[in-house]
Amino acid sequence: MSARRRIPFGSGDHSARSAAAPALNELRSELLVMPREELVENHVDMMVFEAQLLATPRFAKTRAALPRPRRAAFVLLAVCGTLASCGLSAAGALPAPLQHITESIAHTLGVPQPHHTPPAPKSAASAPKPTTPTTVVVRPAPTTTHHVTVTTIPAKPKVVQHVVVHHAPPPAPSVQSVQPPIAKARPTVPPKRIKPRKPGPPPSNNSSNTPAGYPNNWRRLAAAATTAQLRDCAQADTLSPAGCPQIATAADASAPAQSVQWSLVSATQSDAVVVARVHPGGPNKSGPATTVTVYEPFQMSGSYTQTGGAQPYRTYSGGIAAATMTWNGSSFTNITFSSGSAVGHLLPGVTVPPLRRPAGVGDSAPLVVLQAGFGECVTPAADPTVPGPVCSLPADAASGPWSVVGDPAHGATVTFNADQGDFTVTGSYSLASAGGSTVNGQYVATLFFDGQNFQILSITGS
Amino acid sequence: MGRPSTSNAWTSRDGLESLYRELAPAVLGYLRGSGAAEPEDLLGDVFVAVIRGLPNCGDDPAAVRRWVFTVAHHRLVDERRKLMTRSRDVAFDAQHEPSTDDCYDEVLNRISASPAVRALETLTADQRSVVLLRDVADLSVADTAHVLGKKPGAVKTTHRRALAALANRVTGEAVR
Repeated sequence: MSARRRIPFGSGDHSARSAAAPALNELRSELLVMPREELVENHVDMMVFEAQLLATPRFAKTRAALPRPRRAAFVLLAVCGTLASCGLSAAGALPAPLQHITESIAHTLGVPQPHHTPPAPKSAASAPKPTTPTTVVVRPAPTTTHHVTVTTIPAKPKVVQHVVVHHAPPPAPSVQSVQPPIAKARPTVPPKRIKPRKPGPPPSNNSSNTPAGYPNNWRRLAAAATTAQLRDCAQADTLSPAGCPQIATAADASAPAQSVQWSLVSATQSDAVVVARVHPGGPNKSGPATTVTVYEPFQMSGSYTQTGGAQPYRTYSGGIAAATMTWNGSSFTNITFSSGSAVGHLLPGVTVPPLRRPAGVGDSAPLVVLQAGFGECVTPAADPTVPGPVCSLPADAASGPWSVVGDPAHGATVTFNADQGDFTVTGSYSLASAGGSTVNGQYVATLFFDGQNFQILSITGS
Repeated sequence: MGRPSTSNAWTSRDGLESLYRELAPAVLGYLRGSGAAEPEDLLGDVFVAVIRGLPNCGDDPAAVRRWVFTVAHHRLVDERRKLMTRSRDVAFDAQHEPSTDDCYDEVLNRISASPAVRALETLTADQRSVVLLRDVADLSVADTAHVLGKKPGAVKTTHRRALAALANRVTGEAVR
């Protein structure tokens, strides 16, 4: 037994507290001591400094740039975008640059691609199992019934099926299909060798864009054929023959033209433009056909008479003759001209040089001819068989005879029409009759150069 | 308690000093009685750490007192854990032992020699904490339970046993 005297404790805290009261008082008197004053100052300074730090705005908690729902939506959108891009990349549906980038990243990270061929198995154990149905070769035996255990490989692993095979006596081995295939075997098409087609005939020497089957000088031949056809057209006996480029109208539209004669003044073959157009189906779907179009400057002059008139009139037609033709293997045939000049109706991309003014011909020559032409209009011609101009002057024949007063060529203006190759002279004239009446006015005269002289086509006065 | 009326006044020096002068003796006694190695340094750390949570206490003096001793207890626990992990033995060197010229140190030496303090050291850690908080810091049972993280009933039981043990120690020594 301990010799220590026990303190009689009652129930509750009161008895314990009263028993320990002296010790507690001693503890309070010894432990409740104010720290040293310098320590108090030091600690209070620390507290104030800490309070100032906490009150500084820089320690304020910064709010997030985006509210929480928006951040969540943004993260969700980014995840969905990443997954979608991965799927598109695996399917190869991304644009080429993005597909290249994703494949580069996948290759760097070692991610297997779906279109990559897996490496061939090195061992038989790791070889893929065949999926075709198994055929078992059963050897005949003396007994008529056999229980054969066959392990089917493709469908399910380690599936053992017992097949009862009834055998007839024939000694030859029989081949029997054990189990119908679970799925129809995929047909395997053996590789076929692609036989290259026989090379066609070597291309011709089409160094100048020569159509197939055409000679190398097809352009010159086409231009020559056009010129020849123009000569044939010059033999026409109408003012506007069909299939010919010349076109003219009679002075009196109410009376038919007679005794029409044409002559080819010029056909500038050197300025001809030859174009070949290949039609794949041909006109009758029979095969490719080529049509050649030739544009060639031409000038034709003619004469004609009209009913009731004795003196013939001059006529003229000039411009760009457009001829179409085909090649029959040896020459151009079916040459047909468009009526009139083709200026303004050329094929797209085709440019034809215009008619050029005759070299060495000035303005004085037509004016000299014009002065004589006024005389032919007011006085009867000495030779009624010589063609004359079509005169349209306001001079009454009943008041005649008329005479030209002054020189109508004086102050006249001469212009060259490059589209038709003719000249136009404008000026003023004055006529006087024997009765004393006079006619004054402006005139427009049309002339052409036939290679040697100017010929007056018409003189129209106002 | 000369405490500011509003929580915003905790940033003023006067309010903080009055808080310190009111609670520092009890906190220091709690730390010293609990056996803290450096009670004064720990006291400064406690009152610096207290600043952050003072605005949440409002104007309730009991809440402030409870908050301060909660921080002190946590710091004490942290220090004990540090000593457990960094414990080392240092040989006594009388030649380099500093002289005790300070009267404060002399008082502390005298306190350590007090029978009540020596009796307090014989209690368990929980009993010692309960006695110090209830009888020295003058906290209620509920506040003591909140600071120590125990139930009020456990605090009462521990307190009763602690007082009995303390009275037994002090009286026994006195009998001898």
